[in-house]
Parts: sequence; C-alpha cells; structure tokens
Amino acid sequence: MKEDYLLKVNNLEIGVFSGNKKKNTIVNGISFAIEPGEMIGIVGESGSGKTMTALSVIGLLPKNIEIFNGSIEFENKNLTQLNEKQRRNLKGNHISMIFQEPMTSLNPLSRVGNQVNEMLFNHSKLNKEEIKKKTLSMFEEVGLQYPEEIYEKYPHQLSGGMRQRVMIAMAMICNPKLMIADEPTTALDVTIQAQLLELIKKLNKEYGTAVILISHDLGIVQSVCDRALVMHNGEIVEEGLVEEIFHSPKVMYTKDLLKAVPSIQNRKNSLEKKEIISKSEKDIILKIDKLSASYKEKDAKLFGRTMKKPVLTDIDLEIFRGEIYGIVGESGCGKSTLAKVIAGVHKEIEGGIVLKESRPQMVFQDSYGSLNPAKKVGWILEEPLRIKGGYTKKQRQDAVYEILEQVGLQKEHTHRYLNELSGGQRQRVNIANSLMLKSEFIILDEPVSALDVTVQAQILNLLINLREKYQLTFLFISHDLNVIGQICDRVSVMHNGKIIESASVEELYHNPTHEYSKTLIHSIPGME
Amino acid sequence: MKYIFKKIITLIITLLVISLLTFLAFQIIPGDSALTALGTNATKEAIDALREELGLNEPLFIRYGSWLSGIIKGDFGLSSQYNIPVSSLLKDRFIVTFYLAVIALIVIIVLSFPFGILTVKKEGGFLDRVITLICQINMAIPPFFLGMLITLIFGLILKMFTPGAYVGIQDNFLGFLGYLFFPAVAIALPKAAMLIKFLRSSLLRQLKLDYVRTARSKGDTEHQILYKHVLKNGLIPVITFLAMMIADVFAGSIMIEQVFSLPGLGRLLVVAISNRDFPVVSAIIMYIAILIVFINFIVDILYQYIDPRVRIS
Repeated sequence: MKEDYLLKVNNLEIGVFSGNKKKNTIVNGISFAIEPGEMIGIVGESGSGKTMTALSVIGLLPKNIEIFNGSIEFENKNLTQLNEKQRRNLKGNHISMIFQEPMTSLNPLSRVGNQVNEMLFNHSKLNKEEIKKKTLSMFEEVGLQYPEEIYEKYPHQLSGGMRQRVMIAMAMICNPKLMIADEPTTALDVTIQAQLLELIKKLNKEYGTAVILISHDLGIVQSVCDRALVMHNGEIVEEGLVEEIFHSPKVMYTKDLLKAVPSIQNRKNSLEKKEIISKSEKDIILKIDKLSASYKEKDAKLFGRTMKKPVLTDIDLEIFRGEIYGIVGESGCGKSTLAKVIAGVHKEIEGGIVLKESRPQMVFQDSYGSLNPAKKVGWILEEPLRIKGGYTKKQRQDAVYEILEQVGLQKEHTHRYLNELSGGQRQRVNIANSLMLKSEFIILDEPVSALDVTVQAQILNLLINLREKYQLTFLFISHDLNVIGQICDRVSVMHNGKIIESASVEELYHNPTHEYSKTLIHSIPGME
Repeated sequence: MKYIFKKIITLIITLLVISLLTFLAFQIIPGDSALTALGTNATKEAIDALREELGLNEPLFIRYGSWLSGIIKGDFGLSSQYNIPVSSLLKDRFIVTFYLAVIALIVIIVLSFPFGILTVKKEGGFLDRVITLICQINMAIPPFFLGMLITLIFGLILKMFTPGAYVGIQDNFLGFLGYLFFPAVAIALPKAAMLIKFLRSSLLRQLKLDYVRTARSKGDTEHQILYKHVLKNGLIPVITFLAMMIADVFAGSIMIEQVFSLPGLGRLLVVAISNRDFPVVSAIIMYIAILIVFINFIVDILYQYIDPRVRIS
C-alpha cells in the first residue's frame, strides 16, 4: 500500500467561521484517494459538500471558507502546506478544472484562443507561435471543427457545447495529471452531454489524466466512472466500484438516492391506473390543429421593418382529460413557446387551438423568480382569488389552507417569505398557486429541473397524487427524458419548432421511429 | 460603419429636436428682448425698430429657420446685454471653462484609477477603509464650500495662489493654468471620490464572477487577474458613468466659477439668465446639448470596440 496514489485526501474538514469563532463545517472529515489515470465520480445532492471538496483540491476555495483540519496530498506533497506561488504552479499545470456554466466561465471580452493560450503562457516556455499551434491542435483534439475560426471567436459567439469544449481544451492543454469536472454537462442538452462525456472518457484514456467527475446525476457517473463516492451532509457515506454502488448499495442514503432517480424503469404503479384517462372525443381538453407561432424581430437597419421569425410550425396536438402529456426537446426547440401559446400569453399565432378550460395555469422552473419575493406565501396564494373577486378574507384564507395541505405544506407556511423556504417547498407553493382557481389543466414548464433528485421524486409523486385527487390534466414540459419517462402517459418530441414524433412513453422509449428521437433516447446516460 | 452612420443620423435628429424645443421655449417665456435691450424708458418707435431689426416680427417658423441656419454657421446673433456677437462672447468664456474642465478631468482620472484599484487590492483592509472614508467626506461637502476651503488653505494660508487675481490666457499661459488648477481641484475632488467608489464596486463585482475563478484555476496571479481580465470588464459600466461626468465638467461649474471669480460659461449663464439675454442663454443650452449628445455618441462607438457582445455584425 505504498505511495502510488496521485491524490490522497485525509480527514479533510472544511468550513466557515461564523460569529464568535464558531466553526460551521461544510465538509466533515472525509478521506479518499485516487490513483493515476483513474476516473472517479462524486455524487451527492446540493449542499453535500462535493463542490467544496473539489475546490479545496485545486485550491480555489472562496476567501471566507477555510480548511480546518486534514491534509490533501498530491504526488506526496501536502497541498495545504504549500505557499501561494507553489500552489499556483500546480493550478492548470498539474491539476485543472472545468466548471458547470460554460457561458460565464470564460471572460466575455477576450477571444477564446487567447484564453487557452494563457494557460501555456503561465506554465510553459513556448514562444507565441508554438503556443498558438498547440492551442489549435488541442481545439482539434476536443472536437472543435475549424479551429482557426474558433480561435478568433468570443465566448458569446459559440454554443454552450462548443464553449465547454473550449474549457476542456484549456483544462487539458498542459497535460495535467488530474482534471476536476464539476457538473460539466448539467447546463447542456442531452445529446451534447453524451458527446462531451465521451470526449472526457477519451481524453482520460489517451492522456492518462485522472478525472474527478462531480455530478448530481447518478446516470452520468454510472456511465463514465470506474469508482464513485457518495456524499451526504459533508460526509462520504459510501465508496466503491460503480457497479457495486449502483447494483447493491449498502447504505440507506444511497438506496434512497437510487430509488429517487427518475427513469422509465421507475414508473410508479399508480401511473398504470389508466381508468382516469378517457379517450373519447368529448374528453379532449386541448386540441391544436396546424398551429404556427412566430416572434417579431426588428430589422437591424435604421428604419428596419419588423419581421416575423417563426418558432413553431405545423403543430398538431390532442390532450385528453386526466392525462399527463409530456413535451420533450432540447433548448431552443420551441417547447416553452408552445406552453406560452397554450396559456394564451403568446399571441402571434396562426391555426386552430381549442382549449376546454378557460384558465390553464402554469408552473415554472425557477420557483423563486416566478413569485414575488417581497410578499408572504399567504398573500401570494390569495392573490388569484383576490383578483377574481367575490371572496371574503376568511374564505380566501380557508382556501389557501386547504390547498397548502394538499401540496404537503402547513398553515404556518403562509407567514413565510420565499427565501425562508427550501427549493422543494417553493415549488410546492408554485403548484398550490396554480391550483387556487380550481383549474383542471395545468402547464408545467421544467417544474423539477432545478431540484435535487430526492426532492424531484417527492414533487413528481405530489403531481401524481394531485392528478387523482382533482382530476387534473398536466402538460409536462422538460428536457429531461428520465423525468418525462417516469411520469408521463404520452409524449411528443419537439425539434426545431416541430413535433416530430408523438407516442405513448413505452412506445417512444423502446421503439423510437424518428432519427432524432433515436439519438435523444440513446443519449440518456445509463441507457443502453 | 453602418452602425456609425445610423448613430450619426440619430444624433442629428436629436439635436434638431433640442434646437426646436429651445427655440420654442424662448418664444413662450414672457418678456421682450427688444424691450429688455433698450430699457423701460425706450419709446415705442425705438422698440418697434429694434424688433424689426432683430426679426422678431417674422412668422415663427421663418425665425426658427434663420436662427437654426445661423447656429449652423456659428452665428448665434447679438447678445442683447453686451451688444456684441454671442459667438465671440462665448469664445472667451469657453476657453476658460475648457481649460478648467481639462485640468479637472486629468485630476479626476489621475486620482480615481490608482486609488480605485488600490481599494480593490486591499479590500477590507486599513487602506481601503481610509480611502473610502475620505471619498465619503469629499462627496458630502458641497462644492462651493470645498472651493472656499481650498481658497482658505492654499490661497490665504499657504499662499500658493492669489484668490481673485485671475490671470488671463493672453497675459501668461502658465499663470493662467496655475490659477485654474485650484478651482479644477475643487471640481475634481467630489467627482473623483464618486468615481473611486464606482470603480471599486464595479471591479469587486467582476471579481466574484465565474470567469475569474477560471482564471485562478489556470494559475493566474492576482496581478494578471486584475489587469488582464477584470479591469476591462469592470470598465464597461464605468465608461458610461465617466462620460456623464465629462459632460458635466465641460458644461461649466456655476458655483466654482463664482467662488474663484473665473470668467467662464457658468457665470456667463447666470448673468445672461437674469438679464433675459436669450441669444446667449439659448447658445449655452445648445452647447451643453451638443456636448452631451456628442459624448453619448462617442460612448456608443467606444462600446462597439470594447465589448464584442454589443458589436453589430
């Protein structure tokens, strides 16, 4: 058991000093080790301490966060005892990192080529010519076509996937021994995600760079890593080979986590109660016929005319009462516009749309931003009734209490502000808000995308229960095929403003007919 | 190029609208320039004759047309109080305000950038707190009082200049600049203080962003991070702020010119307004309007070069 570890973390304790020198720990004495060239995953929910662990390894902890205890040994050097200059020499050169947000992780005012060059300026003795040559060849290595053109571009001129490739090129250019990838694909579409994970795997093999992949998505870790650590509340609760952890987890928390992961295999039995969905003509709640929608766009000229930019073309859709209907597609495919059209918010449309529900309600992804943060929950929930009018204060309050109970919150929550609630509780408030007017048709736009898996599972269960209780119909929009697969009855795949395939979930996931649907289904991590 | 052309067109339209508003405003304000010029004892014939001479009897739009074409040629008419062409009256005053503004601007920039960056480097430290406190005090003191303090300390006690003994530009150029230096400092100090605080918060905001973390992960030094990454990004909001400041400085400071008895535009404006010298007032208004519109134009063009995200292909 002699020193052939690349990285050895020993009893690491990280935290902040709060008032009167009290320690507030974020990471609670964890130990783990990585061998050269290994690919290890760290999974955990938000607040589990996985990102802080990674930041402490590369030496990027925020100023107010400190290492209280323990050691981080990298090639037998204790990093916590190095001075600033010695640490700097390791950064990028031996330990590099890629981040979640490819948009904001690059300097917006600097050409991406220069930003990659900087790595070589810092850590190599190459001259300008050689640096450029090396950057260009690295761009090619990470699958960027036309490297010469990319080299001159600014970050905003590249797509999210391309930006993340630039980040990877930057992280790999000094041929580091360890690369930390913190949620590298979370902000990206599923097909791009699959390509990037493939790329990281390839670079790991070719260069022998060890990779720490941090993710909340167990499917990703399962599909690319050899070994995994499961973190919870600042501790490593389970550690082992990926197959072991995913197939025979030992710890309760890991078991719960795995159970919560949405997937088509995890479809709840309650979903199979098909009798609440009727399929007769009179029970169609929404019928869309050859619908097109467009946005107005102003010409860049001085007195330019406004032009119509089509977003949706030839949409046909039929939703029956009691159904959970999924719309799945990648960013920019028009799924949110479709939601707005159905809700009656977006009015630039042509074609037929018949909705047998006067006021469809919407639930959005951003549970905080979509409600007024300056008002208390009770006030927010009463608002629809206040606007509708005809209720006494007492009646409004009773209605709020009743709905709150249905969404799993208590009376006391009416006195809270949004920032005093957790993400899951806030989304419950949003759902409650959509139910206040007793609408039977609810549009959910990425309702669980910002939530941790265990919370996600709770909200999905809540939706299923509410549907039965109130005979609701849901239009469920998501980019996440796993979530759609778990909760929906039927689903439409959207691509470039068109519905390219509509089928029942089982049919789509097992026999996709359209080429694009096939790519999409095969991109789901952990799906073979 | 197309963008610049488009901007120039907008600029011209803006100025035309302002000129029309200025012209109309002086038509609506009660008071007769001819009467004011000749005094209350003038005979009706004399007033009518002057009205005829000044073209006050023509229809409105013809008068606007001739007024506007005059402005374009640099002819703002005759000052009714001094009876000399407004343009030559303005020229002398403008030179004073111009040099005053240039010196003030240099002082603002020389003070604010180094100190602004210093506070960011030493954020939360002793120096940061001292500089921030000094800035606070500077912004709180009214400019005329600051002018009086400077007169007292540098003029009367230290005898570095003689208050009230204004040196003309023709007499002694260096003496002229020397006399302007202290009023310029009085103008500059509160503005420099504002700029330091603005720059500080802008840079600190940038330092919290993700791309700075990326730069750190590359092994950049703090020096590299500040000068290669953060400064340029942090300057974007500062440019707009600085531009407003420049316009303000060049418009002339009524207070400071009064305190230091400088024959600048600010003082001229005060006198002209109280004497209903409309040609002079409207000329100064047009000057300030052109100044502000033009500086905004420059800022828009500048953004095109600095920020690739607003660059129009």
